[in-house]
Amino acid sequence: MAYQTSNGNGSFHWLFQRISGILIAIILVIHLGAVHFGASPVDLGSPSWKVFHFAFVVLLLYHILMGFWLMVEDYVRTHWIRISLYGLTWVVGLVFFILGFVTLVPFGT
Amino acid sequence: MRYRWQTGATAWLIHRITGAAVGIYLLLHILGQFGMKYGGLEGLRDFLTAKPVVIILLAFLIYHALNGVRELIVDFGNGALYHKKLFWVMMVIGVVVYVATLTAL
Repeated sequence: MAYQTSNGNGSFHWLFQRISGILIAIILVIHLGAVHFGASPVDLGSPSWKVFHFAFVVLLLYHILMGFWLMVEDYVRTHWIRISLYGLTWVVGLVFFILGFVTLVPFGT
Repeated sequence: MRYRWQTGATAWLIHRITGAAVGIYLLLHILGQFGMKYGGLEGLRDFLTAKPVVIILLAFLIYHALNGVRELIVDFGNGALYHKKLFWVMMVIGVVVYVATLTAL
């Protein structure tokens, strides 16, 4: 199957919502197994775990905020509220990107 | 917006509700880890790790993941032909995974 993408019709986001979902499911199982249900503790401060968790944060932010964006599209009719919520999506994304970065990068040092 | 209470539409609506809830939880989880690194937000971490919260989170998470897999099969495979049956198959798998996860808590 070929996926045609063009600017502004949302098809890239449709596809990437699915791709990020698959990746998140895989990462989540590893995260839960290693961090929350693990028998032996893992060194979360190691570079590979930092990269792993930072990738997790970025994929999650995309997936969560795209989900939120779609709900705004579906449910919010009032123009200014809609624009404000789109703005809020970007703000939350940037803030949590920074939060994730400053939490993970110096982690364990 | 009005919803018809049929399997597909209901599954989709629950997908949204569980997605919103799990999404908020995971954002708070990131915030909590930030607090752990730089001090503070103990109350938030206590809330996120409270047993009732975790029990609900796991149910929502397992639903969202399995219904997501179902949507993938519908979108990329021929799941549209049997999406209702697929829903119930996923729910059975979900209950098994949920019980196994709760036992391991």
